[in-house]
Amino acid sequence: MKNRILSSFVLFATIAWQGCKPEKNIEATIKFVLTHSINGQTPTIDGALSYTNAAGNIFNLKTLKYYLSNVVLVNTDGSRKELKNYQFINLSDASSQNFSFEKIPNGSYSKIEFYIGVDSLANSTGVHTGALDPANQMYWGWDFGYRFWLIEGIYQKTSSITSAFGYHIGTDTNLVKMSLLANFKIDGIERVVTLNCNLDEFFKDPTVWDIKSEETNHSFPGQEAGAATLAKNMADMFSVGKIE
Amino acid sequence: MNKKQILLLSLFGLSAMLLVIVSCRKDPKILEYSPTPISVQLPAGVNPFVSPSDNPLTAEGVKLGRMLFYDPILSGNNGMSCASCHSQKFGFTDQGHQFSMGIDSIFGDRNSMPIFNLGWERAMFWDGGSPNLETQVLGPLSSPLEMHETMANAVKELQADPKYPNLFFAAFGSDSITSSMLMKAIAQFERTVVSFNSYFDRTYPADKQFPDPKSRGIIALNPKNTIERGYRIFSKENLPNSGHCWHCHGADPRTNFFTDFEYHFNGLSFNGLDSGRQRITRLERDKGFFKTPTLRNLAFTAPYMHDGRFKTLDEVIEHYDHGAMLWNTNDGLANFDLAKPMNFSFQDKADLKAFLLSLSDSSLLTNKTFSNPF
Repeated sequence: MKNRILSSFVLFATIAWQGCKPEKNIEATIKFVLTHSINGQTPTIDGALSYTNAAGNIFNLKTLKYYLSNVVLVNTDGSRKELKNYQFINLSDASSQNFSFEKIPNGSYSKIEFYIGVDSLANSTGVHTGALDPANQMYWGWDFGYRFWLIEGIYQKTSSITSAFGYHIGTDTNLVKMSLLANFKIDGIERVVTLNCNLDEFFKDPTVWDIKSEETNHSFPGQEAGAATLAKNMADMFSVGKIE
Repeated sequence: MNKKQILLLSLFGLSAMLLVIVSCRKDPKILEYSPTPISVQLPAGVNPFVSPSDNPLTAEGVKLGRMLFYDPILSGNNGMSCASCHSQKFGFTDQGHQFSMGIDSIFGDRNSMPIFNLGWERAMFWDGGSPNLETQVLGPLSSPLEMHETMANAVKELQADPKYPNLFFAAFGSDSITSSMLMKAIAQFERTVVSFNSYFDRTYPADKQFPDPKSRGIIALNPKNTIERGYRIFSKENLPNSGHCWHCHGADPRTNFFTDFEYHFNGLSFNGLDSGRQRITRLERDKGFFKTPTLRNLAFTAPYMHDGRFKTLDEVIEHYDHGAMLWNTNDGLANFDLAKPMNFSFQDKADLKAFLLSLSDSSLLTNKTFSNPF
C-alpha cells in the first residue's frame, strides 16, 4: 500500500514536471545582418580615393543608401513566408544594417528572396511612413517614386582632376528581384543570416561600367539605358554568408 | 480675536484655498487630443471632394497647415514660404512671374500653379508627378530650385520651435513631429481653399440653369450678352465659330471645375526643356502633354501655360485660334480640335475673353480664412 502510494506520487510528480517543462518553440526570430565589401575590404564613407573598379576607375564613397524590401523565406516544401517589409539601409548608419523578423515558423528553408528597391504599389502611391519616410531623402520630389539605390562618391577623372559621380537607380523597370539559395532550419531559436553586398559587382557583370562614360545617372528620361545597365549589374551584388 | 487676527486667519484660509485650486488645476502641458472634424462649405450642385482616409479634415489640422503654408521655417534659409510663390492676391500664383525664383536665386522652369479646388484633382504638378496633395509638399520643399530644404531638417526645426509641437499634438495626437504629419497638415489646408463665387457661378448656379454645352440650353442663351455669346463659343459643337474648349476644360460642366483633370497636348511648340507628362510616364507619346489647368480665376493668374509663355488671355486665344502646331499626333482631341484654324472674328475673341473673365472669383483673393495667419 505504502509502495503504491509512493509510486503514484512519483507518477503524478513526473506528469506535473513534464507538464511544467517549457514546450519547444514552434517559431523563432530570424535576423539579417548586412555586410558590405569593396576590393575585399569593408567600405568606409569619405575616405581617400582608394577603391578600384573593374574599369580601373579609382574612387571613394560619399553616400550609399538603398532599400531591401518584400523579403520572402521559401520553405523546402515550397510554401512561402512573405514578410512584406521595407528596410532602409544606410552605409553610414550601422543600426540600419540589421533587421529581424519574429515568429518565423519552424522548418527547413531553401531560398531567400527580396527586392533591391520598392515594389510598384508603394512606389506609385506617393510618400509613405517608416522606412519610406521622405526624411531619408530617397523619394524624388518633383519626380515620381523612390530611389531604390543611391551611390555617390568622388573619382579620379584624370591624373590631376577629381570629379563627383552618382547613380540613383529607381523606377519600376529597374526593380531588382533577388532569389538566393540558402539552406537553413528554423527550430525554435534565433537564426542569424549574414547578407553580403559586394560593391565591386555594381561596376561589372554583366557590363563593365566606366564612371567616365556616365558620371551621373538619376534614372531620368533619356538616362534609361545607363540605369538599366547598372540595375542588371546589381543583380549579383548580394550573396548569403554565414548562417548561425 | 481682534481684527488683525481675523484678517490673518482669512488671509491664511484664502491662500490655502488658492493652493488647493492651483494644485488641482490640470497641468497645462497635458493636452487632450480631440480633433474637430470639419467639412468645406460648397455651393449646391458641387459634389464634395473626398479626403484620403488617413487624413480627414480637422479644424486643428487646417489651422496648422495654414500656418505651415505661410511659415518660412520650411525653407533652407528660413526666408521663403509656400506663399512666397503662391500668393493669395494672385489666385495663389507667383505675382505674374513667368518663373519663380528659389532661395538660391535660381529660377524654376514652370509657371507657379494656382492653389484652389485641389481636393478634386487626381494628381499634382503640371505633369501629374505627385499622386496626392500630401506627397506634393515634398517637391517644392526639397527642390534646390525652390525652398531647398531637407524634410529631416524641416521636421527638426519645427520640433524645436516653441509653438509647433503643441499644434501638431492638437492636429495629430502626437507632439513628436514627423514628415508625414507636416505633409498632411499642409494638404488639409490646401483642400479647404475652394473658389466657386465668380460672376458666372452667381448668374448660372450649378444646381439651376447651367447651360448645357451639348446644344440644349444654348438656344436659351441671350445673344445680346457678351458672356453668354462667349460661353457659346466655349461650348458649341460643329458650328462655324466653335471653340471646342469644353472638350478639355469641362467635359462635365455640371461639376463646375472647367478642367477634365487629364493630360493633353495643346499644340504648343516644344520649349526645348520640358517634355511634360513624358517625364513621368516615360512614354514618347506623352511628350508635350500637360495637365489641363482650370479656367477659373484667369484674371489673377497670368501668365499662362506650363511655361508661362503667354502674358495675356488674348495671346492664349490667338494660340487656339490659329497658333497650334500638331507635332505630336497622339492626342485625339487635339487632332480633332486644333487641326485647322478656328477663324474667330474680332467679336468672337472679345466674347470668349469676357466669358473666361466671368469665371474669376475675387473673393478668393480676400477670404480671411486663407490669408496669412501671422
